[in-house]
Amino acid sequence: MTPSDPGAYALDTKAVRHVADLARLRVEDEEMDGLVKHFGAILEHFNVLSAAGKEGRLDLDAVDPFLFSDTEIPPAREDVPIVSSVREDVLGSAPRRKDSFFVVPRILGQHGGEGSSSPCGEEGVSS
Amino acid sequence: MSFSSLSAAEIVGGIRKRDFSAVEILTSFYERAESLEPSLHALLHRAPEIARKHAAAVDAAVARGEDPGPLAGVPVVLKDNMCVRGMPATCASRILEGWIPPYDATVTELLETSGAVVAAKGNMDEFAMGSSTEFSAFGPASNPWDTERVPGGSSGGSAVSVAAGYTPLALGSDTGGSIRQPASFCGIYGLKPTYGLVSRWGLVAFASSLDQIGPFARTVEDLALSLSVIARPDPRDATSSRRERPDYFASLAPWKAPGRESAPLAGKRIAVVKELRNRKDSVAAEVDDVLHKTLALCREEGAEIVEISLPVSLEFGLPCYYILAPAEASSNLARFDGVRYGLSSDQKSLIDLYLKTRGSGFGNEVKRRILTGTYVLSSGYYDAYYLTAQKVRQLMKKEFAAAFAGCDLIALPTAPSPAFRKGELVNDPIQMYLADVFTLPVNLAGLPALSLNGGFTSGEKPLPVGVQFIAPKWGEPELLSTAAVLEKKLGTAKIAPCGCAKASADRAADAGIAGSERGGEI
Repeated sequence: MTPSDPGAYALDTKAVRHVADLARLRVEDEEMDGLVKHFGAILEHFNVLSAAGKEGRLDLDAVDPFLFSDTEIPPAREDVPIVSSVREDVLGSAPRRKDSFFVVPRILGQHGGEGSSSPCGEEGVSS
Repeated sequence: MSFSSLSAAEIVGGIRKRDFSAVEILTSFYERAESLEPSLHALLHRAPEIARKHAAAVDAAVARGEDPGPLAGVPVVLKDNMCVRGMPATCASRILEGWIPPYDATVTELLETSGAVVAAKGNMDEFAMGSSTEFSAFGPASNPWDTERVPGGSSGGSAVSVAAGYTPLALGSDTGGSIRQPASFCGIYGLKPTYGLVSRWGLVAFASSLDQIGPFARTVEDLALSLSVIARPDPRDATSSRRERPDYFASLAPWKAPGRESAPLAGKRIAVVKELRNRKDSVAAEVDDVLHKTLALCREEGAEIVEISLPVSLEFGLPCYYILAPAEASSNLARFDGVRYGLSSDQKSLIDLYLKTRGSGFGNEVKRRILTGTYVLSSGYYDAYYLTAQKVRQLMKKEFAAAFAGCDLIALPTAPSPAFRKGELVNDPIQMYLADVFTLPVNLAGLPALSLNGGFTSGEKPLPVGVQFIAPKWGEPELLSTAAVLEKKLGTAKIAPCGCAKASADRAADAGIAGSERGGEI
């Protein structure tokens, strides 16, 4: 059950929850069974690739991974100034704003530290 | 007056000659949509006020004697992942509900400066993740040939709009088959251009190395017309090719070339794929039948039918794609955080804001793919999954290059089956993924491909069956040329019955004729 042997690794509830935390995605308890089942099936499907490599059906050792735009590298844009005045347009979509800032819950509390209790109504701003 | 059967080229011609106005055409679009949307649900937003201004501007240009543009007055449906200033762009997701883009996508700009009128936004699978349009957060679209069935996806709404005769032209995006598969299910043309031909600026990204915008139409001429408008270099998209675009109309009538009148496909080598023989069990018999009849027709028109081999692409393309596309999606969709636009959950801490907004805003399939992508990119698993898949992708690219040394085009079914029933696969994601098995290798290799309607299934409600032609990079003229030859034999794509019993019977008769008149086995 190690990362070097992914074929033997089945994702359980704890592992799915960990991946969901990495993805900043809240997963409700009632969703969990379905996700664990899905992961079991999809990883089995994915492991076909590694297995084919090991069995010699795919010769992957000598292959460079796909490099994007390897046949045609687009030229850089001309270095010319352009007028860009989209701030109001962009801020206009903000769920919460204050002046020219997006407003988010306070990251550092009054006494510092993420997750410390922020008094209702006190928020941080992010530009 | 209904204009639903007119092609885009006919609309432009009529407006230029003042046979009718752009406003009349637009009114007809909304009237047809109004009557059919309750059963089809192809559209997520209609924008009559903005669209009427554009249509009136076209009419004013015509009245002044000015050139109104190559797409003058053509109402167009854009998939709801393309930005139009002032119109919502939800990507069929709750997380973007209420967001109004403050800018136009490059394709929007190009369409509007060509006189086209963006009339509505098309329904889709959420963030383009799906093959049936059932994963739309705002409800599924229906197939206009049989409303109990799916229209395909993810660009299902765009395909339905064209097949149902709302409009002659719509744009979709294709990451693993999302233009070609719904084109097949709805019996129309769908073109996935070469990666880099059409700008992706203003297209909400799903998998950036695979996404490409392309047109749906009922005639090959309209495909060429729309492609000539949207296929432009764009400095705002770093992956947009700067190469000169060919004249896409030049290839539309190969039978006019001296000596080619009776054999317009002479000299063209069209390949069947050897490995397809081993997949008989996974390809519906009627799909196989339509493919072979279409190939027989190609041979009658002078093409040489050859055989090539794509073992890696057909066996390993699916797992390769379903590692790489979610990996890219997990990164691209990180931007939906509830801070700058769209849905935002009111929480006391920033981390809870992210977790709750994303947890409640994304649907199940999007969550599955974000989690899959995060997992295959996570420490310890990257080499085993992501890197391995990128190596397989390289092999597939080389495999296609080797195949094209022996042929000009490759023919494959667009999808393994005709349109499936609603609900049939929605709870079995991996079975749903199989719908893309013949289309996604094309995206992984960055190639262009065109799906055309090769025929219909038999039965009370005949269903269209698509055939896909794949070309080497920048081979769109070759695809259009071949499709034009076949169109001359098969006819232009038909408008679907849209749930109307009488129309259904008429179409059944048409479809029966279309199916039986085609050539025999090769």
